[in-house]
Amino acid sequence: MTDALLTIAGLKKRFGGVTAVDDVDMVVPRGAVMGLMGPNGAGKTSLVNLVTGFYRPDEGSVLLDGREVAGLSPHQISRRGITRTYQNVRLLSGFNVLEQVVAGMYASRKASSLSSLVMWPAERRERRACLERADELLTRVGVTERHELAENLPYGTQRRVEIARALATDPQLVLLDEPTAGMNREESVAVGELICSMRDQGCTVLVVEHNMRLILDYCDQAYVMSFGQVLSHGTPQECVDDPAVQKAYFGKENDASGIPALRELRSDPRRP
Amino acid sequence: MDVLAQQILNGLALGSVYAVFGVGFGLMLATLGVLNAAHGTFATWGALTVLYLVNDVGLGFWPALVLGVLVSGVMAVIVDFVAFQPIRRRGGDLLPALITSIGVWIFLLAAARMVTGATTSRYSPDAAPSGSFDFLGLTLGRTQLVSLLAVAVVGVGLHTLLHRTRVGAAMRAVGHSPMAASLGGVNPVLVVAVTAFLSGAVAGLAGITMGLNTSTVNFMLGEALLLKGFAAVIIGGFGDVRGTVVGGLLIGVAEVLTAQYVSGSLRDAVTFGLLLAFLVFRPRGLFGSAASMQTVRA
Amino acid sequence: MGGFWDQYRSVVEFAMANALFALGSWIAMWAGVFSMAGATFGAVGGFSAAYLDLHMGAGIVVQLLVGAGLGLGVAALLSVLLLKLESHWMAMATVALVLITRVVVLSAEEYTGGSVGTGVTRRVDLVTVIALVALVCYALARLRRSRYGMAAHAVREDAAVAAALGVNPFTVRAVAFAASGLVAGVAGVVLANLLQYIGPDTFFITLAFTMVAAMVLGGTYHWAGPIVGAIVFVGLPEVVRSYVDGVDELMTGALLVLIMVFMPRGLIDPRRQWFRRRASQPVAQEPAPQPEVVR
Ligand SMILES: Nc1ncnc2c1ncn2[C@@H]1O[C@H](COP(=O)(O)OP(=O)(O)OP(=O)(O)O)[C@@H](O)[C@H]1O
Ligand SMILES: [Mg+2]
Repeated sequence: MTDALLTIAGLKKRFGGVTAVDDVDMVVPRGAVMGLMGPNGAGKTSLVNLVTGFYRPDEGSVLLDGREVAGLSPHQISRRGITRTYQNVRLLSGFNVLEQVVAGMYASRKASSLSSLVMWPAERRERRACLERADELLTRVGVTERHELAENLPYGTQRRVEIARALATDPQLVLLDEPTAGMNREESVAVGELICSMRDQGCTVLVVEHNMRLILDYCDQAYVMSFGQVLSHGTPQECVDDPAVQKAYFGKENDASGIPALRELRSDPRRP
Repeated sequence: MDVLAQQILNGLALGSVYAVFGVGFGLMLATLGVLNAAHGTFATWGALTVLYLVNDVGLGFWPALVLGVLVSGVMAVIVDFVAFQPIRRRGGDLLPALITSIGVWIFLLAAARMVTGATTSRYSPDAAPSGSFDFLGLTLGRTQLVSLLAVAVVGVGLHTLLHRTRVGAAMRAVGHSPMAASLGGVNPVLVVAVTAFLSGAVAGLAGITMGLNTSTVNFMLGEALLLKGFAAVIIGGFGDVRGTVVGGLLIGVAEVLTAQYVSGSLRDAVTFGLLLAFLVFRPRGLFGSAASMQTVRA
Repeated sequence: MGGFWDQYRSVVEFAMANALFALGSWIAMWAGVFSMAGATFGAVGGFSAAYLDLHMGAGIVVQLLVGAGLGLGVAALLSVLLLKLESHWMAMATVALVLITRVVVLSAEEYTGGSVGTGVTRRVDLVTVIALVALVCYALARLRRSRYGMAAHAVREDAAVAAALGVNPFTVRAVAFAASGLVAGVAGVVLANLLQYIGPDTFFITLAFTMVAAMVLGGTYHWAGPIVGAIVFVGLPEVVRSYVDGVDELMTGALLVLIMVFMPRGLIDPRRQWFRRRASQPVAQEPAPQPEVVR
């Protein structure tokens, strides 16, 4: 068996009467692309928020590489190597595209900011190196803009800039929250390819998606959540075929086969 | 012992002025989301109006008081319309509204200085309540009585209005979301105007009683009130009329007792020390709920 | 030209002193901290300068260094207390701090002269003041895209996102607050020297309001904002006064309201097109897909 990078056990989070995440166990193997599906309000984003320290869990543990991260602050967790993107893009207003990505290199920049006051050569070299690396990352995610303000870009481009920014933190684990929302089919495929290339470079990816196509085509395994709980786990195809999942998505088990989209997905040969 | 009782009574009378002002200031902060630096000038203008009507026009004190309160209220409505409404419509938060209120403050303060020529005036003899009477063995000034009555009327009246009437419910809702207020079938523009009017009118009343109690009126009258009223709002608990009243009275008593038993120069130290302590260690004050803090945050 | 300087020298000096204060507020704002505590740190700098002047005859360099150091130190200490507050409460707490400053000045009579105040020998000239402003601007321009500068901006725009990028928002804010104390401390020394007399009302609420108003008026998104704001705020009334007497403050107040209503981001806004470097590449003309509305 491949070893586990992320191990979640008994994770729980309540908001008043709602239990957004209810006793979730989850294992993400190192080097995997893990899908996370579920109907609206299933608790997917809440899970991402728990893992990244945005929410403090009520119960349960989150182990990264065997070390507990639950209860740490977001910046500590980020420095351990977990990073994320957001369901509603959250770029930093006022930064241009390059700067958005350079902002992700905060933890790895070594030169003291004070040394920039005297134009210390090492600081200037580092600045230039950061810009070059940001340029490469942007090329990698397929963004051609550089000096535009990121908030003026099309939505799909903003999402890719956000991914580049996440990669700039040198993460071990990237959590993508609906990276293809609002994208057309071509763009979604490009994101899928990007996710594969991230894995090939040693990143582990957890991708939250409503787009089943993406999960089926690019994920090694998947989890399905519903009402805060894990409903199903296995290969993406197994998940889609699981009657419980169909029920959660479509209400009645029998209806599922009648839905053309799903039928199409099922008949589609899986990518290697 | 008698000294203590007398000083507590004096403190309550002083505190009632702070409390009345604080209720108006707090109303604007909690429901309209404006930390209004210009609120003290509403009090100043109310007091100046009454002084003018009584001394120069020869109107009786009580009709003048009513007119003075009206002037302050209308002033607040105009200010809200000109300086705060455009920012609220943009969904801006506390900061830009604070800055425009500073602009209004500079304007109204300078205007007050111009019309008064920066001089301090007094009421003509016998034109306004004065003198004192015996009350349970203590001495109570008529002006003090006016302040105590004012806090009772304002405190009970506003609390009842906010919690027992439809308009009051709409006023509270406006603070949380203008949408919610309009859902209740009340015109949000009107609700905002009524709220602004009340908060200004109450400030004017505080200014007038302040002028009575110190028997002098000048263009800076409202500035001390602003700071003390701010303290009353925070200490009492934000967005709660009862809390603000208690906060104001508490400050008044604490100031008078400090001046009596410790040192007159430490009066402000006590008030502002309490203010800072509350902000840092108990931001919701004596009576405020966590929910009422949301108004300002949103 | 000489006539101009003779007439307006002191206006420019005061505008620059205010610019220093506004820059101090801006440095805190850089990391998203709205603070009026600059008046407090100014008092620390100003009264320490007066004390050094009166009792030791210390020169301006010593005064500035001590003022900067004390401003920094006091701000660093207070940041522990204040920065854990939610932002609006923090803003109000800094107002409370300014109110208390006056009380402290009044009661620390031995050092501050109490209600009488204290005189200061003037040891700065226009060049020194301008040089100080220029120094702060240079530092801020250099820091703008440094590691810290980008983190500060990120924390201001979205502290949670910044944290997810490894930035500790608390540290960044504390550093900004302390640095704003340093600059405000220097500004206090300068103001004390310019005024040649300081008292309990010198570093009070009016100064606090003035510095934040100048900052917001000029624009909080670029360090040039507070300087422009301070020049407008101090200079314009002077210009008006030389034409019509008595209405300068009315004008200032009205102008502040108008600018905030019609230019909410202030006079200097780096987002405005003319302010930005031309884009190096044309924007690809792809149709922007509409964001899916997901709750
Ligand atoms: N901060 C919060 N406060 C209160 N309730 C919350 C909060 N965050 C999430 N919830 C609730 O938790 C539940 C799960 O929400 P979550 O956003 O995690 O769902 P999701 O699976 O990401 O849904 P979607 O597909 O729509 O993004 C919802 O009922 C939501 O209302
Ligand atoms: Mg979600």
